Amino acid sequence: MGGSVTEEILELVSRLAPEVGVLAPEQIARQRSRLAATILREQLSRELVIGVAPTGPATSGSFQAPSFPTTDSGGAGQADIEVEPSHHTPSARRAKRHRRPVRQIAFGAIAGVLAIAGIVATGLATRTRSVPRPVVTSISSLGWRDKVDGVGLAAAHADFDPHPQQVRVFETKVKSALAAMPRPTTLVRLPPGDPAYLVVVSGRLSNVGGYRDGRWVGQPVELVLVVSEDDTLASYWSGTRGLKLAGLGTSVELPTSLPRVPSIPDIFGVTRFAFDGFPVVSRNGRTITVLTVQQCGGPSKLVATSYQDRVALVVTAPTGAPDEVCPLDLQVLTISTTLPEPLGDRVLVNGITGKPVPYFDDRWFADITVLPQRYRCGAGEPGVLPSGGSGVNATVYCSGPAKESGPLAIEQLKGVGSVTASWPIVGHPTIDGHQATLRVAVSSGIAYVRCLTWSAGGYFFTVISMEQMEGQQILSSSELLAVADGLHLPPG
Amino acid sequence: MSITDAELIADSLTQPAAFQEIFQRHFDCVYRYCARRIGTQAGEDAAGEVLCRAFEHRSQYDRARPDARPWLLGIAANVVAGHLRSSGRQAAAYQRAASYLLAGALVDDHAGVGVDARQELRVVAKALASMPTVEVETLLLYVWDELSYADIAIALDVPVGTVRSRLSRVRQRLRDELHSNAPGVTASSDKDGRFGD
Repeated sequence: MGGSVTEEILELVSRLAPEVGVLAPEQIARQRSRLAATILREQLSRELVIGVAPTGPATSGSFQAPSFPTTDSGGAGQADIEVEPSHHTPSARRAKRHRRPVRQIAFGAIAGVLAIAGIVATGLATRTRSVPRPVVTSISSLGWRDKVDGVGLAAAHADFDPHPQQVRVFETKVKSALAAMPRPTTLVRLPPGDPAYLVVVSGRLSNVGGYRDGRWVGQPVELVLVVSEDDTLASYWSGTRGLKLAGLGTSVELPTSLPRVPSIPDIFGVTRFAFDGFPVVSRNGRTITVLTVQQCGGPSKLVATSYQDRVALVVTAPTGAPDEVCPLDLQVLTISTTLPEPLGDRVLVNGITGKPVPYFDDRWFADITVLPQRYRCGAGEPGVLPSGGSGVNATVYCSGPAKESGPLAIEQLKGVGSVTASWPIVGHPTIDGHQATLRVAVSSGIAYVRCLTWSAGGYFFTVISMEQMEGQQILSSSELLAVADGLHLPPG
Repeated sequence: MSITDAELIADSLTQPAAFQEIFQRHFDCVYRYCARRIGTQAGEDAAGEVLCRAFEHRSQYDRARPDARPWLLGIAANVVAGHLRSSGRQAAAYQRAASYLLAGALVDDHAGVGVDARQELRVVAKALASMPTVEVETLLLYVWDELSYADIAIALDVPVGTVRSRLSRVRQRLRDELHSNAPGVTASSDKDGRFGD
């Protein structure tokens, strides 16, 4: 061995370092989600919503005090506590100018605190004895502040408040009440026997409601937010007071009836939202396609999380900057994702609500055996054609030379369909023994839409040729009929 | 100029999501630290735990230190130690390296390592396994994780002088062991001073 002993020792010690390789992306994602859950938990622990009240018309200049339901925690002797609303919001400034409303808010907030205290005492405390009951000595000492931007929460309460953008949310830090919440590392099976683990991030208590007929109508609810180990996030309102707070035991009881789910808070710079319409699953069972509306923050992505018995879908998009001017032209996009394994018998669920989602299996789509010359068709995509009715649908788009011919679309709806477009009916041809309806829309003597619809085999078919650019020819009625006659449903 | 770790951590106090960038920057390094000491499977979980703990204790971060890596590896050292304690494998941390070696797994994986070199590796591994944990950890932070003396001091929360003295002791022990058990090693000086006192 040459060189200094030190260098040789360093080299030897260096060689002792076990080879650890590189983590797989899913392993990194799992740990990233774990940190995200920790971050989310802290953010949620900062907020305890105790009251939601509509601000009312801007001209009113005052708020009505939320009159929270009386609880068994009592409420006497606290009337001298005052709320000190923050002064940076218009509503707060209004409240400052009008002393009486502030008092009213104070009483409402106090009642809310007491209500929450009652909930904590009867709810959390019964689960974990070490949870200290919040002792409210001063509203301001707890950092109460009013929060005008309660849209996200209010969206969950649209049943109460028809103007969800006009809400007032009081929030504060009550970490003591959240001490019972398990750390994000707590894993629970959902449901028992399911290998899919969800991370219980946090829970919070809310007193939700709104004004109905000039009277506060509200009830305390318990909210559990659960985050899966990966990118799919689901939240559940577990129900009203007295129900078991899901996720804190060794098993999770999913609510059988989910109220409307609030929009998911923007925690990680990514907005999660449900997709539109029905997904289409490709013939090999691995590619899932959905429709979504273009988001301001950036390109949307369809995220599928595979479990043993289900696949959860959620659309994600980067969160736009707060001051971003976003021209929402509501462009509808088709986005897809590919599963590592075919969907098979697993259920497709909405990753936001956890509810099963009906989908169109592309294997159901009729074989297209007749096409006009030089036309080619793609795979089935979520349907957007103007056929009404109920059922899952998919559309296959076929196109010929773009400059010469308009696109041809073939939609197949599993269920009962109808046509909502007002194009004039010009005839009722027969397709494979089924009466069809032919509609033609004409402008300046030129047909720009020709549409054929009929029902067969439990499906509602729409074959439509339309002009997309000026000068394009659409298919003639006989060509359209030939395409329709050439559609053959797969056996079974 | 990109934002420093210290600035990110400061931002995360009000914007917690900013801490995600710390994960992005350092998870791989933290994982390697953990995996080398307790294995890849446990190392992955431990690395995640390190980042979570770091987030929870970020208010204690010394913002005068732009690079968070030493701080994170210090947390990692505690997490790894806790893992070993909880798994009943206390004191096995650095014997693992020895067992790797003695089982031939490591050496056999190194093509081109001659018989003498294998003997030297065995000597070093055995020596490390018999040394105080803190000294070995100091050495491994220097060699495996390529921390400077100052950064090791931060990670282990000891003065730089302590780092120097620990490294000096471990160097002397290894030198002695090699001298006694690996005939090929006869020199006794650290000519370039890189590993000096």
